[in-house]
Amino acid sequence: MSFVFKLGRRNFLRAAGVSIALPLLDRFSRGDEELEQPPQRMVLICTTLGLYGPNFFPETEGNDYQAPAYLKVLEQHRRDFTVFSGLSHPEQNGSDGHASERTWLTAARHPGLAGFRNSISVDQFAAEQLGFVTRFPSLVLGTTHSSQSYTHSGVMIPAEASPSQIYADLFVAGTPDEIARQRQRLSEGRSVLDAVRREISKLSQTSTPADQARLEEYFESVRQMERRLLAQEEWLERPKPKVELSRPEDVREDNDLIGRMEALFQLIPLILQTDSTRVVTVTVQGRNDVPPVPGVSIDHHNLSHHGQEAEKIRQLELIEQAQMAALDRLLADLKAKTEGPRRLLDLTAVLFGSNLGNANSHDWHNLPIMVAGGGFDHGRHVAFPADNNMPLSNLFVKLLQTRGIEVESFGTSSGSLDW
Amino acid sequence: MLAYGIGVNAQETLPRPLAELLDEHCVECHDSGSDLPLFSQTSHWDSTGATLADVSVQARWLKALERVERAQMPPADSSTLGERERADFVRALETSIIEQQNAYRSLNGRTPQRRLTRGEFERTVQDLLAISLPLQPLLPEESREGGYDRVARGLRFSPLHVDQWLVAVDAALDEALQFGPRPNTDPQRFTYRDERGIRSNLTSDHPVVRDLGDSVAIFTDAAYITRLHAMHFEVPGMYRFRIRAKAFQANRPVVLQFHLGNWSKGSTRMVGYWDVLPDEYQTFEVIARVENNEYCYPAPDQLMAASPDSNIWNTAAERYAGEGLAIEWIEVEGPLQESWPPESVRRVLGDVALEPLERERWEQGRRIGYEAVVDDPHGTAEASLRHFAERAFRRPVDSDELTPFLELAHDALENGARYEDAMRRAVRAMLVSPQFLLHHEPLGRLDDHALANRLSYFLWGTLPDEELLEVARSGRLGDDQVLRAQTERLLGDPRSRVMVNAFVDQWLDVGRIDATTPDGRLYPEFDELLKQSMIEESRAFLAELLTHDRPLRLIVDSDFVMGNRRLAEHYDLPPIVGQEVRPIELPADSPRGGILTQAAILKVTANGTVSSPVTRGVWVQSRLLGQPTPAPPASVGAIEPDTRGATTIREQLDAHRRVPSCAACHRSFDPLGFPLESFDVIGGYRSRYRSTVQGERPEYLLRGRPIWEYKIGPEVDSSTVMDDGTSVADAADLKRWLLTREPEIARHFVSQWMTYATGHEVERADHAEIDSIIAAEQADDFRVRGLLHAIVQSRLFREK
Repeated sequence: MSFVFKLGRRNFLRAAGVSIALPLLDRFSRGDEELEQPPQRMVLICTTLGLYGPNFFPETEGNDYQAPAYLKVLEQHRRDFTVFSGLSHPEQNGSDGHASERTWLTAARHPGLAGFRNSISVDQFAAEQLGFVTRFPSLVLGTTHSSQSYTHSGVMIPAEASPSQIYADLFVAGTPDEIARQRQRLSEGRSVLDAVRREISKLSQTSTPADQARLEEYFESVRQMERRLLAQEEWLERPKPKVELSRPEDVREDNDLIGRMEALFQLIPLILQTDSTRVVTVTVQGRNDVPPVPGVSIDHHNLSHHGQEAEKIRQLELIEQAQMAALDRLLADLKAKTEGPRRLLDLTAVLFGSNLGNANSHDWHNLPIMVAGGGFDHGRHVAFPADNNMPLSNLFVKLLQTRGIEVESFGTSSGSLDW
Repeated sequence: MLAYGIGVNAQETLPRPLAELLDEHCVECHDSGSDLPLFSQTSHWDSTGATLADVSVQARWLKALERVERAQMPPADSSTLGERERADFVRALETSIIEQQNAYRSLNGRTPQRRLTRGEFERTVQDLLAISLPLQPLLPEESREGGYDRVARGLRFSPLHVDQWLVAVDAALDEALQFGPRPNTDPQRFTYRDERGIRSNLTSDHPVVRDLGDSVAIFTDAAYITRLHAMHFEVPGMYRFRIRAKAFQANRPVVLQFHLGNWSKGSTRMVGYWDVLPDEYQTFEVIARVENNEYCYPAPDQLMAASPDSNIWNTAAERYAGEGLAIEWIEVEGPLQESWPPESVRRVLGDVALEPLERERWEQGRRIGYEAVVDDPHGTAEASLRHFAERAFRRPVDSDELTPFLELAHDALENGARYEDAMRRAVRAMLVSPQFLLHHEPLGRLDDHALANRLSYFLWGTLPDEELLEVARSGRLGDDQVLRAQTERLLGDPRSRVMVNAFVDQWLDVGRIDATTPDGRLYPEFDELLKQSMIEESRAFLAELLTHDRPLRLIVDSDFVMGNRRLAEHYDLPPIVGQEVRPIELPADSPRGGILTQAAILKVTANGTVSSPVTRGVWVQSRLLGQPTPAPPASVGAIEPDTRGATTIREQLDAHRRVPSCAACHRSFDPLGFPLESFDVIGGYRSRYRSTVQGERPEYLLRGRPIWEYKIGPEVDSSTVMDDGTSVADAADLKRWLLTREPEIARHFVSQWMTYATGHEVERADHAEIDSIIAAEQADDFRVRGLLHAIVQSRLFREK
């Protein structure tokens, strides 16, 4: 399951015949001095049907906690992660029991209820600050096309679910013909949008004040898209990094939650080490069918509503153990890779958790949350009061700040979480 | 929202009577130091000096208005507010709010400018280009604010939208510009006897199909058996399929399901289902879209086993005595195009000559057999683009507006592009332009083009047809009778099911049918056919009321349901034949009738395992009676489901309701849900709960086999006492009680339909208009088609 990113930075540049003089901001063109300050990345992973609490939360706080079943799976990383209890977003009662899926990364209140409007997700906020410093400002991945990443205007960004497509986008160089066509498509797109943009400003002259505000949002969207197309055109001129992993096959079965999760996890270390992006989200979307996990015969969503039935809890544990095992391998892979003197994991904050605290009753308090790597001091169970939760946004603020993004608050934060 | 403040001078201080009443009756609990500092002082609307022009301040006062209006505030046990004072309070506050809303509207109109929803985008582009390519999967999901995806407030813009519109338009133009050689569209007939897979199965050790000489009998829906490999598709498009089949070894109908797609890509979808009778072959027909590299999978369904312990997998086909499906042949015809190259090419390129090439060539992976021959590319481009723009923009277009698009085409031509590529670029720009994506509605009364556009998108979800455009061009649509006649004409067209389906899916939440899947152990009888039948029932029910102008009260209770054989079985109705949905008269003792006891409604108000009177009660209160339900306090945990069969939901809820702060709200909606406890999570009638742990074994069979999955648990108690003291024993009593609230239900129904029709939520300033519709239609029993005409004729529909 592990693979080696063999080409060093210099070798890569030589091999690709790239001139250092290119006006680039990307990772491969940076001077050694900058390499002393390696980029800080973050990976945000949510499994949407919760995690069975008694197996996740340690009974005691601090360093000496007795690892419950799920944390035992991560035993080899115990010094590399912190487990939290008592975190949640405030006021998440929404239009249905799973509404908090939509706000896990945004913290907007009352998802789906009257007047609800989603806000920008923490990954997109970070991507916006970072811009096209990497080929992709962010990567939104998922086991289905459903994601938790939202734009400013509250629109869901569909997740990329095909590892083979992600691989192609990141690592497969197009033929000169393909690149030329792509360039043609992008510049045509820009000329089309340029014409459209002029039309919008004409229209707004005869609009009502309220409609002018809407046209302005449209105008701004077109302008940003033009800029993106331009940035994509620039990146088109730069060679894609080569990696030793061959193009992965997609997991065809919709119900193979674990297989799909593992296939995405396998790409993450490569994505980060090639500095293709610094912000990755993964939505592990719980489903209404039976995952091919040995011993499981009931569909995942129903299992999460176990109704205290022993058999359902047993099967639910099998699925969740498999998810923890996938996380275990991801962390091991991130540790195995190094960048200069540092392990890749130390340069990558991995947030793993769920938008449901107790999925059986759709309770969105007391979320299972853990952070691995990222240069933090780890090894503890940090507990906040179960009946007076700490805003999860505080943790987001901490993650952003330590990724080098200057920010005081995000979502419903009341500060930055220190531990 | 920022826009609310624009240019409106709002009243800054509270009107006198309101200030006095607040002082006397509200501030004691709601002052600035309290837990609920709603009204920090009584001279201004907000302590910051903000006025009702601020949307959040207005929302807060609207909530106060509702609570006082419904006598939920001040609390009954401590209030000294007299009825007259209450009326004064309501009038003063309502007047201020309405004044504010009207001031805002005089500048901005009621409905903000709407963009096309993704459904509207798909249908509009399909109709403009004469293509059938699905486009919705390429576009971002809509957020459904105010309950409906057409509500303007939720129709936002983002770079992602722009990106995906470009992608979707590209895909649509790829589909439209087909220059491939003329495909063979003659009907072709296939039989399973010639299928390689079937032949090898027939000669295997354990065949699961049987050769009947003139046909092949199939006893399973396994895709590897039913896939017809010989039938493959090179050109995506609409195809006509005909299947000739009969039921085999059956003395009742079996079901033929027809799937298209690619099983190994997980893209199969059911495009038709029919009851197939024994004795003689019948032909079934369906027209559906197929993509490249897809197959068809005709499959038997609902087969009865011959005996409790036999199935095709343990009995070889020659000896198997259970029901099967005998398929004689399957015929395919298409792609269904009246001309070649298809009409879509001319829709994009205009009236140009399309001539066959002497020798085919390949271009970017596509076979090219035709080319456009244009003598005067510049002139033709201009004429074609003008024609296209008038259709696409749904209104007259002046030359000025055409310029940037013409420039794109002309520049491309100057740079040596072929005519079709130049046109493609200009049309692409038009289809992401604001003129196309936004509905054009000037302030005040809608002109005829805007009215035609609103009517067409309301009823058909797509652009006006030629006749409606002609009426608009002639300037007669504003005439009440002409508008009425056009409304009738559009309603008579099958496309009006777009409105019926989308409205039912969103108003009643039927669109959320897949949010949960029933637990296969508790509900082994649930299947795809039942799910489709339930969706179809709810949609067809409104269509029936609309088509035949039936009284609205039938949504509470009716002496018929809209169903097919599968649903009749599910509802324990006398047997019928046929899977097509039609009105079925109910026996006098049936608990069905109306929407509350429709399987789809009972399913979307439950999770896949258990039902909750809370969820169902809240649904009835909000969807039918139109009363907003306050969100539960953040600290309240939901009831923890327990399906071990030891406790019932009633016992759990009773504990919940003993807490006074819970009871305050639960006493109003729980009683609306309890009578529906007699219906399980898939809408089946039950007198006892099912359980997987404790209980007795069921003695009845499921399609000829015993049930081992679940047990029969505790008894259901559907009785309750309504908030007004009425005792209710079951769903029939609940319906009787609801019928006493007919005007309330009608009012909410009209408000919901108005929201859908106009793309804006009904606000306080609209109440008078809604009330006058209700007053006018009451004498006519709130007949449904009459309500629709009243909505279309209303000021709200005919103004921005």
